[in-house]
Amino acid sequence: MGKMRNALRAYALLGGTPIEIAEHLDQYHRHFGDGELVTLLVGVLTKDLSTFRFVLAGHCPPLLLGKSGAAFARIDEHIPPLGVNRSGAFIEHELQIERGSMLLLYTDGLAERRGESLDVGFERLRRTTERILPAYEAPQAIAALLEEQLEGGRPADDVAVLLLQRQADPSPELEFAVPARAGSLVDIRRAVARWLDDVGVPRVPSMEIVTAVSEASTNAIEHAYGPAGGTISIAGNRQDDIVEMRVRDTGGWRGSSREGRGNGLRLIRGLMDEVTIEVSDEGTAVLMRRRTGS
Amino acid sequence: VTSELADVAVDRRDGMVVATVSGEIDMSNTARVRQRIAGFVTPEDWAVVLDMSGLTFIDSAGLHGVSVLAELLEERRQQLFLSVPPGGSVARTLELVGLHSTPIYADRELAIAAAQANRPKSRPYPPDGQ
Repeated sequence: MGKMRNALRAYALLGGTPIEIAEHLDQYHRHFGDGELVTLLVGVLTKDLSTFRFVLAGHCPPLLLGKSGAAFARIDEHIPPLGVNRSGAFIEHELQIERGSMLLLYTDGLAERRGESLDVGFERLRRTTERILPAYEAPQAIAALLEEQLEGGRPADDVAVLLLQRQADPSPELEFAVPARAGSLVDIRRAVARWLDDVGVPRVPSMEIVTAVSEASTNAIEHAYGPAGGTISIAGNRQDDIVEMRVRDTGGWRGSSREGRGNGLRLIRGLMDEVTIEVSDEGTAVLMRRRTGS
Repeated sequence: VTSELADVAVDRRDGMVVATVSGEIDMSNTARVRQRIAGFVTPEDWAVVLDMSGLTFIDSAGLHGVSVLAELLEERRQQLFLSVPPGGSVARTLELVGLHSTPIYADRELAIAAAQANRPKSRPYPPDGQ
Protein backbone atom coordinates (compact mmCIF):
# COMPACT_ATOMS: atom_id res chain seq x y z
CA MET A 1 0.00 0.00 0.00
CA GLY A 2 2.91 2.33 0.73
CA LYS A 3 4.10 1.72 -2.80
CA MET A 4 0.74 2.80 -4.23
CA ARG A 5 0.69 5.86 -2.01
CA ASN A 6 4.11 6.94 -3.22
CA ALA A 7 3.19 6.34 -6.85
CA LEU A 8 0.03 8.41 -6.35
CA ARG A 9 2.04 11.27 -4.87
CA ALA A 10 4.45 11.20 -7.78
CA TYR A 11 1.64 11.21 -10.37
CA ALA A 12 -0.22 13.97 -8.52
CA LEU A 13 2.91 16.15 -8.60
CA LEU A 14 2.94 15.95 -12.37
CA GLY A 15 -0.39 17.76 -12.36
CA GLY A 16 -3.40 16.86 -14.47
CA THR A 17 -7.01 16.11 -13.77
CA PRO A 18 -8.16 13.59 -11.14
CA ILE A 19 -9.08 11.22 -13.99
CA GLU A 20 -5.59 11.42 -15.50
CA ILE A 21 -3.95 10.84 -12.12
CA ALA A 22 -6.26 7.89 -11.40
CA GLU A 23 -5.56 6.38 -14.82
CA HIS A 24 -1.81 6.63 -14.29
CA LEU A 25 -2.13 4.96 -10.92
CA ASP A 26 -4.33 2.25 -12.37
CA GLN A 27 -1.67 1.53 -15.00
CA TYR A 28 0.98 1.42 -12.31
CA HIS A 29 -1.13 -1.01 -10.30
CA ARG A 30 -1.59 -3.30 -13.31
CA HIS A 31 2.15 -3.43 -13.90
CA PHE A 32 3.60 -3.37 -10.43
CA GLY A 33 0.72 -4.01 -8.00
CA ASP A 34 0.74 -7.12 -5.83
CA GLY A 35 -2.80 -8.02 -6.81
CA GLU A 36 -4.22 -6.28 -3.76
CA LEU A 37 -7.44 -4.29 -4.00
CA VAL A 38 -6.87 -0.57 -3.67
CA THR A 39 -9.66 1.91 -3.01
CA LEU A 40 -9.00 5.39 -4.19
CA LEU A 41 -10.13 8.97 -3.90
CA VAL A 42 -8.16 11.48 -5.96
CA GLY A 43 -9.31 15.06 -5.71
CA VAL A 44 -8.14 18.47 -6.84
CA LEU A 45 -9.22 21.60 -5.01
CA THR A 46 -9.30 24.79 -7.05
CA LYS A 47 -7.01 27.61 -5.91
CA ASP A 48 -9.93 29.71 -4.68
CA LEU A 49 -11.03 26.71 -2.54
CA SER A 50 -14.54 26.83 -4.03
CA THR A 51 -14.60 23.63 -6.08
CA PHE A 52 -13.47 20.08 -5.38
CA ARG A 53 -13.20 17.73 -8.37
CA PHE A 54 -12.59 14.10 -7.62
CA VAL A 55 -12.58 10.51 -8.79
CA LEU A 56 -13.65 7.54 -6.69
CA ALA A 57 -12.74 3.90 -7.10
CA GLY A 58 -14.30 1.68 -4.48
CA HIS A 59 -13.93 4.46 -1.93
CA CYS A 60 -16.61 6.03 0.26
CA PRO A 61 -18.06 9.33 -1.00
CA PRO A 62 -16.97 12.65 0.56
CA LEU A 63 -19.35 14.22 3.01
CA LEU A 64 -20.20 17.89 2.57
CA LEU A 65 -21.46 19.85 5.51
CA GLY A 66 -23.11 23.14 4.59
CA LYS A 67 -25.84 25.44 5.86
CA SER A 68 -28.57 22.91 5.11
CA GLY A 69 -26.84 20.04 6.88
CA ALA A 70 -24.56 17.16 5.94
CA ALA A 71 -24.92 15.18 2.71
CA PHE A 72 -22.81 12.58 0.95
CA ALA A 73 -21.69 13.49 -2.54
CA ARG A 74 -24.12 11.90 -4.95
CA ILE A 75 -22.47 9.09 -6.86
CA ASP A 76 -24.63 7.56 -9.59
CA GLU A 77 -22.22 5.02 -10.92
CA HIS A 78 -19.81 3.20 -8.65
CA ILE A 79 -16.35 2.34 -9.91
CA PRO A 80 -14.77 -0.72 -8.27
CA PRO A 81 -11.39 -0.57 -6.49
CA LEU A 82 -8.18 -0.84 -8.50
CA GLY A 83 -7.35 -4.49 -9.00
CA VAL A 84 -10.89 -5.39 -10.06
CA ASN A 85 -11.47 -5.63 -13.79
CA ARG A 86 -13.24 -2.53 -14.87
CA SER A 87 -15.30 -2.08 -18.00
CA GLY A 88 -15.88 1.67 -17.86
CA ALA A 89 -13.63 4.67 -17.41
CA PHE A 90 -13.16 6.72 -14.26
CA ILE A 91 -15.79 9.40 -13.68
CA GLU A 92 -15.09 12.89 -12.41
CA HIS A 93 -17.42 14.33 -9.78
CA GLU A 94 -17.64 17.90 -8.65
CA LEU A 95 -18.59 19.53 -5.36
CA GLN A 96 -19.07 23.23 -4.72
CA ILE A 97 -17.75 24.28 -1.33
CA GLU A 98 -19.55 27.39 -0.14
CA ARG A 99 -18.00 29.74 2.40
CA GLY A 100 -18.40 28.32 5.89
CA SER A 101 -18.83 24.77 4.57
CA MET A 102 -16.78 21.72 5.48
CA LEU A 103 -15.70 18.75 3.44
CA LEU A 104 -14.93 15.46 5.12
CA LEU A 105 -12.86 12.76 3.42
CA TYR A 106 -12.44 9.50 5.30
CA THR A 107 -11.80 5.79 5.00
CA ASP A 108 -14.62 3.33 5.64
CA GLY A 109 -13.21 2.44 9.05
CA LEU A 110 -14.84 5.63 10.28
CA ALA A 111 -18.35 4.44 9.37
CA GLU A 112 -18.13 0.68 9.81
CA ARG A 113 -19.07 -1.10 12.94
CA ARG A 114 -19.01 -4.84 13.43
CA GLY A 115 -22.40 -6.48 13.08
CA GLU A 116 -24.03 -3.40 11.61
CA SER A 117 -25.06 -2.81 8.02
CA LEU A 118 -23.09 -0.28 5.99
CA ASP A 119 -26.15 1.89 5.39
CA VAL A 120 -26.76 2.24 9.10
CA GLY A 121 -23.08 3.09 9.63
CA PHE A 122 -23.06 5.80 6.97
CA GLU A 123 -26.26 7.38 8.22
CA ARG A 124 -24.81 7.43 11.72
CA LEU A 125 -21.65 9.12 10.39
CA ARG A 126 -23.75 11.70 8.56
CA ARG A 127 -25.73 12.60 11.64
CA THR A 128 -22.68 12.64 13.92
CA THR A 129 -20.93 14.96 11.50
CA GLU A 130 -23.88 17.32 11.42
CA ARG A 131 -24.00 17.46 15.17
CA ILE A 132 -20.29 17.50 16.09
CA LEU A 133 -18.35 19.37 13.42
CA PRO A 134 -19.97 22.85 13.57
CA ALA A 135 -19.19 23.04 17.28
CA TYR A 136 -15.38 22.92 16.94
CA GLU A 137 -12.34 24.31 15.15
CA ALA A 138 -10.75 21.89 12.69
CA PRO A 139 -8.25 19.92 14.85
CA GLN A 140 -10.63 19.52 17.79
CA ALA A 141 -13.45 18.75 15.37
CA ILE A 142 -11.61 15.71 14.05
CA ALA A 143 -10.78 14.51 17.55
CA ALA A 144 -14.40 14.91 18.65
CA LEU A 145 -15.70 13.19 15.54
CA LEU A 146 -13.39 10.20 16.05
CA GLU A 147 -14.27 9.97 19.72
CA GLU A 148 -18.00 10.02 19.00
CA GLN A 149 -17.96 7.79 15.95
CA LEU A 150 -15.67 5.11 17.41
CA GLU A 151 -17.28 5.41 20.85
CA GLY A 152 -13.86 5.69 22.40
CA GLY A 153 -12.99 2.14 21.34
CA ARG A 154 -10.43 0.81 18.91
CA PRO A 155 -11.68 0.83 15.34
CA ALA A 156 -12.15 -2.48 13.49
CA ASP A 157 -10.11 -1.11 10.59
CA ASP A 158 -7.58 1.72 10.39
CA VAL A 159 -9.11 5.15 10.00
CA ALA A 160 -7.90 8.15 8.01
CA VAL A 161 -9.77 11.45 8.15
CA LEU A 162 -9.19 14.65 6.23
CA LEU A 163 -11.29 17.71 7.02
CA LEU A 164 -11.43 20.89 5.02
CA GLN A 165 -13.04 23.92 6.62
CA ARG A 166 -13.67 26.87 4.35
CA GLN A 167 -13.62 30.12 6.29
CA ALA A 168 -17.04 31.75 6.64
CA ASP A 169 -15.93 35.34 6.19
CA PRO A 170 -12.74 36.62 4.69
CA SER A 171 -10.46 37.88 7.40
CA PRO A 172 -9.24 41.49 7.11
CA GLU A 173 -5.91 40.18 8.37
CA LEU A 174 -3.41 37.75 6.96
CA GLU A 175 -0.45 36.17 8.69
CA PHE A 176 1.76 33.27 7.82
CA ALA A 177 5.38 32.19 7.80
CA VAL A 178 7.39 30.18 5.29
CA PRO A 179 10.96 28.89 5.07
CA ALA A 180 13.32 31.50 3.57
CA ARG A 181 13.85 29.54 0.37
CA ALA A 182 13.42 30.50 -3.27
CA GLY A 183 10.83 27.75 -3.64
CA SER A 184 8.59 29.52 -1.09
CA LEU A 185 8.05 32.54 -3.34
CA VAL A 186 5.32 30.92 -5.38
CA ASP A 187 3.47 29.87 -2.21
CA ILE A 188 3.75 33.42 -0.88
CA ARG A 189 2.29 34.84 -4.09
CA ARG A 190 -0.58 32.35 -4.10
CA ALA A 191 -1.48 32.99 -0.47
CA VAL A 192 -1.31 36.78 -0.76
CA ALA A 193 -3.28 36.81 -4.04
CA ARG A 194 -6.00 34.63 -2.51
CA TRP A 195 -6.28 36.84 0.55
CA LEU A 196 -6.40 40.05 -1.53
CA ASP A 197 -9.13 38.48 -3.65
CA ASP A 198 -11.01 37.44 -0.50
CA VAL A 199 -10.97 40.97 0.91
CA GLY A 200 -12.14 42.39 -2.40
CA VAL A 201 -9.03 44.11 -3.72
CA PRO A 202 -9.41 44.64 -7.49
CA ARG A 203 -7.19 42.80 -9.95
CA VAL A 204 -4.67 45.48 -10.88
CA PRO A 205 -3.73 46.68 -7.40
CA SER A 206 -3.82 43.06 -6.28
CA MET A 207 -1.21 41.90 -8.78
CA GLU A 208 0.96 44.90 -7.95
CA ILE A 209 0.81 44.19 -4.23
CA VAL A 210 1.61 40.52 -4.91
CA THR A 211 4.66 41.55 -6.95
CA ALA A 212 5.87 43.93 -4.21
CA VAL A 213 5.50 41.26 -1.49
CA SER A 214 7.26 38.66 -3.66
CA GLU A 215 10.08 41.13 -4.31
CA ALA A 216 10.48 42.00 -0.60
CA SER A 217 10.49 38.28 0.20
CA THR A 218 13.19 37.70 -2.41
CA ASN A 219 15.36 40.28 -0.64
CA ALA A 220 14.84 38.52 2.69
CA ILE A 221 15.64 35.12 1.16
CA GLU A 222 18.83 36.46 -0.41
CA HIS A 223 20.16 38.56 2.41
CA ALA A 224 18.75 37.66 5.82
CA TYR A 225 20.21 34.27 6.61
CA GLY A 226 23.18 32.05 6.07
CA PRO A 227 22.80 28.66 4.43
CA ALA A 228 21.30 27.28 7.64
CA GLY A 229 18.21 29.24 6.62
CA GLY A 230 15.41 30.82 8.59
CA THR A 231 11.84 31.99 8.30
CA ILE A 232 10.10 34.91 6.66
CA SER A 233 6.74 36.04 7.92
CA ILE A 234 4.19 37.79 5.81
CA ALA A 235 1.41 39.85 7.30
CA GLY A 236 -1.38 41.76 5.63
CA ASN A 237 -4.07 44.08 6.84
CA ARG A 238 -6.86 45.80 5.04
CA GLN A 239 -8.67 48.86 6.36
CA ASP A 240 -11.07 50.64 4.06
CA ASP A 241 -9.16 51.05 0.83
CA ILE A 242 -5.68 50.80 2.34
CA VAL A 243 -3.77 47.55 2.22
CA GLU A 244 -0.74 47.27 4.44
CA MET A 245 1.72 44.43 3.96
CA ARG A 246 4.70 43.50 6.11
CA VAL A 247 7.50 41.13 5.19
CA ARG A 248 9.69 40.31 8.13
CA ASP A 249 12.80 38.23 8.75
CA THR A 250 14.82 37.64 11.89
CA GLY A 251 18.25 37.73 10.29
CA GLY A 252 20.85 40.42 9.77
CA TRP A 253 20.97 41.75 6.22
CA ARG A 254 24.33 41.51 4.62
CA GLY A 255 24.99 44.67 2.69
CA SER A 256 24.92 43.64 -0.92
CA SER A 257 25.94 45.31 -4.10
CA ARG A 258 24.65 42.54 -6.26
CA GLU A 259 23.17 43.89 -9.43
CA GLY A 260 19.41 43.66 -9.53
CA ARG A 261 18.97 44.18 -5.82
CA GLY A 262 18.48 47.91 -6.29
CA ASN A 263 15.93 47.07 -8.94
CA GLY A 264 13.95 45.09 -6.40
CA LEU A 265 13.59 48.04 -4.07
CA ARG A 266 12.88 50.38 -6.95
CA LEU A 267 10.14 48.05 -8.09
CA ILE A 268 8.61 47.86 -4.60
CA ARG A 269 8.65 51.65 -4.30
CA GLY A 270 7.10 51.99 -7.74
CA LEU A 271 4.30 49.57 -6.97
CA MET A 272 3.39 50.72 -3.46
CA ASP A 273 2.46 54.18 -2.16
CA GLU A 274 4.59 54.05 0.97
CA VAL A 275 7.55 51.84 1.82
CA THR A 276 9.45 51.76 5.13
CA ILE A 277 12.31 49.46 6.00
CA GLU A 278 12.88 48.88 9.68
CA VAL A 279 16.18 47.33 10.66
CA SER A 280 16.68 46.26 14.27
CA ASP A 281 18.54 43.63 16.27
CA GLU A 282 15.54 41.36 15.77
CA GLY A 283 15.77 41.48 12.01
CA THR A 284 14.40 43.46 9.13
CA ALA A 285 10.82 44.38 8.33
CA VAL A 286 9.64 45.89 5.08
CA LEU A 287 6.37 47.76 5.54
CA MET A 288 4.41 48.60 2.43
CA ARG A 289 1.19 50.52 2.11
CA ARG A 290 -1.03 50.80 -0.92
CA ARG A 291 -4.33 52.53 -1.63
CA THR A 292 -6.49 50.17 -3.64
CA GLY A 293 -9.06 52.63 -4.90
CA SER A 294 -12.13 50.60 -4.05
CA VAL B 1 4.81 22.37 -5.77
CA THR B 2 7.75 20.80 -7.47
CA SER B 3 6.39 20.98 -10.99
CA GLU B 4 8.04 23.64 -13.12
CA LEU B 5 6.94 27.20 -12.46
CA ALA B 6 7.55 28.19 -16.07
CA ASP B 7 7.26 26.41 -19.39
CA VAL B 8 9.74 27.27 -22.10
CA ALA B 9 9.18 26.23 -25.73
CA VAL B 10 11.82 27.01 -28.31
CA ASP B 11 11.45 26.93 -32.06
CA ARG B 12 13.50 28.11 -35.04
CA ARG B 13 12.26 29.84 -38.16
CA ASP B 14 14.47 31.36 -40.90
CA GLY B 15 17.54 31.42 -38.70
CA MET B 16 15.65 33.10 -35.91
CA VAL B 17 14.87 31.58 -32.53
CA VAL B 18 11.34 32.07 -31.18
CA ALA B 19 11.17 31.25 -27.47
CA THR B 20 7.77 31.14 -25.81
CA VAL B 21 7.72 31.29 -22.06
CA SER B 22 4.61 30.89 -19.93
CA GLY B 23 3.96 30.61 -16.22
CA GLU B 24 5.99 32.54 -13.69
CA ILE B 25 9.63 33.58 -13.40
CA ASP B 26 11.23 34.46 -10.09
CA MET B 27 14.62 33.89 -8.44
CA SER B 28 13.90 30.17 -8.16
CA ASN B 29 13.89 29.52 -11.89
CA THR B 30 15.28 32.56 -13.72
CA ALA B 31 18.70 31.00 -14.36
CA ARG B 32 17.12 27.79 -15.66
CA VAL B 33 14.82 29.67 -18.03
CA ARG B 34 17.72 31.77 -19.35
CA GLN B 35 19.95 28.72 -19.85
CA ARG B 36 17.18 26.83 -21.60
CA ILE B 37 16.84 29.62 -24.17
CA ALA B 38 20.56 30.43 -24.48
CA GLY B 39 21.36 26.74 -24.91
CA PHE B 40 19.13 26.53 -27.96
CA VAL B 41 20.70 29.47 -29.81
CA THR B 42 23.48 28.60 -32.26
CA PRO B 43 26.06 30.97 -33.84
CA GLU B 44 23.98 30.81 -37.03
CA ASP B 45 20.91 32.39 -35.45
CA TRP B 46 20.80 36.12 -35.94
CA ALA B 47 17.98 37.05 -33.58
CA VAL B 48 15.92 35.74 -30.68
CA VAL B 49 12.27 36.62 -30.15
CA LEU B 50 11.19 36.04 -26.58
CA ASP B 51 7.41 35.80 -26.41
CA MET B 52 6.33 36.58 -22.85
CA SER B 53 2.60 36.82 -23.62
CA GLY B 54 1.84 33.69 -21.60
CA LEU B 55 3.84 34.85 -18.60
CA THR B 56 1.70 35.76 -15.59
CA PHE B 57 4.49 36.91 -13.28
CA ILE B 58 8.06 38.15 -13.44
CA ASP B 59 10.10 39.90 -10.76
CA SER B 60 13.33 41.90 -10.83
CA ALA B 61 15.40 38.71 -10.63
CA GLY B 62 13.55 37.40 -13.68
CA LEU B 63 14.05 40.63 -15.62
CA HIS B 64 17.71 40.57 -14.63
CA GLY B 65 17.86 37.15 -16.31
CA VAL B 66 16.31 38.63 -19.45
CA SER B 67 18.86 41.47 -19.52
CA VAL B 68 21.71 39.00 -19.02
CA LEU B 69 20.37 37.03 -21.99
CA ALA B 70 20.19 40.25 -24.03
CA GLU B 71 23.82 41.06 -23.17
CA LEU B 72 25.04 37.57 -24.02
CA LEU B 73 23.30 37.79 -27.38
CA GLU B 74 24.56 41.30 -28.07
CA GLU B 75 28.15 40.20 -27.54
CA ARG B 76 27.53 37.75 -30.37
CA ARG B 77 25.81 40.31 -32.60
CA GLN B 78 22.51 38.59 -32.06
CA GLN B 79 19.60 40.72 -30.98
CA LEU B 80 16.79 40.03 -28.53
CA PHE B 81 13.20 41.11 -29.29
CA LEU B 82 10.52 40.89 -26.61
CA SER B 83 6.80 40.42 -26.91
CA VAL B 84 4.90 41.62 -23.83
CA PRO B 85 1.17 42.41 -24.01
CA PRO B 86 0.32 45.75 -22.38
CA GLY B 87 -1.78 45.96 -19.24
CA GLY B 88 -0.63 42.87 -17.38
CA SER B 89 1.55 42.30 -14.35
CA VAL B 90 4.61 41.61 -16.51
CA ALA B 91 4.23 44.85 -18.49
CA ARG B 92 3.89 46.83 -15.25
CA THR B 93 7.03 45.30 -13.74
CA LEU B 94 8.92 45.88 -16.97
CA GLU B 95 7.78 49.50 -17.03
CA LEU B 96 9.11 50.10 -13.51
CA VAL B 97 12.38 48.20 -13.78
CA GLY B 98 13.14 48.88 -17.44
CA LEU B 99 15.38 46.98 -19.83
CA HIS B 100 18.03 49.13 -21.45
CA SER B 101 18.20 48.54 -25.15
CA THR B 102 15.85 45.63 -25.71
CA PRO B 103 12.95 46.49 -28.02
CA ILE B 104 9.52 45.47 -26.72
CA TYR B 105 6.44 44.75 -28.83
CA ALA B 106 2.79 44.30 -27.90
CA ASP B 107 2.47 40.85 -29.44
CA ARG B 108 4.41 37.97 -30.87
CA GLU B 109 3.78 38.67 -34.56
CA LEU B 110 4.90 42.31 -34.22
CA ALA B 111 8.10 41.19 -32.49
CA ILE B 112 8.81 38.59 -35.17
CA ALA B 113 8.13 41.13 -37.95
CA ALA B 114 10.47 43.64 -36.28
CA ALA B 115 13.18 41.01 -35.94
CA GLN B 116 12.80 40.07 -39.59
CA ALA B 117 12.96 43.71 -40.70
CA ASN B 118 16.21 44.03 -38.75
CA ARG B 119 17.86 41.06 -40.38
CA PRO B 120 21.42 41.89 -41.48
CA LYS B 121 21.94 41.71 -45.24
CA SER B 122 25.17 39.83 -44.91
CA ARG B 123 26.66 38.05 -41.98
CA PRO B 124 29.50 39.97 -40.34
CA TYR B 125 31.54 36.81 -39.82
CA PRO B 126 33.31 34.99 -41.37
CA PRO B 127 34.45 37.66 -43.82
CA ASP B 128 34.00 36.75 -47.47
CA GLY B 129 36.95 35.06 -49.08
CA GLN B 130 38.59 34.04 -45.82
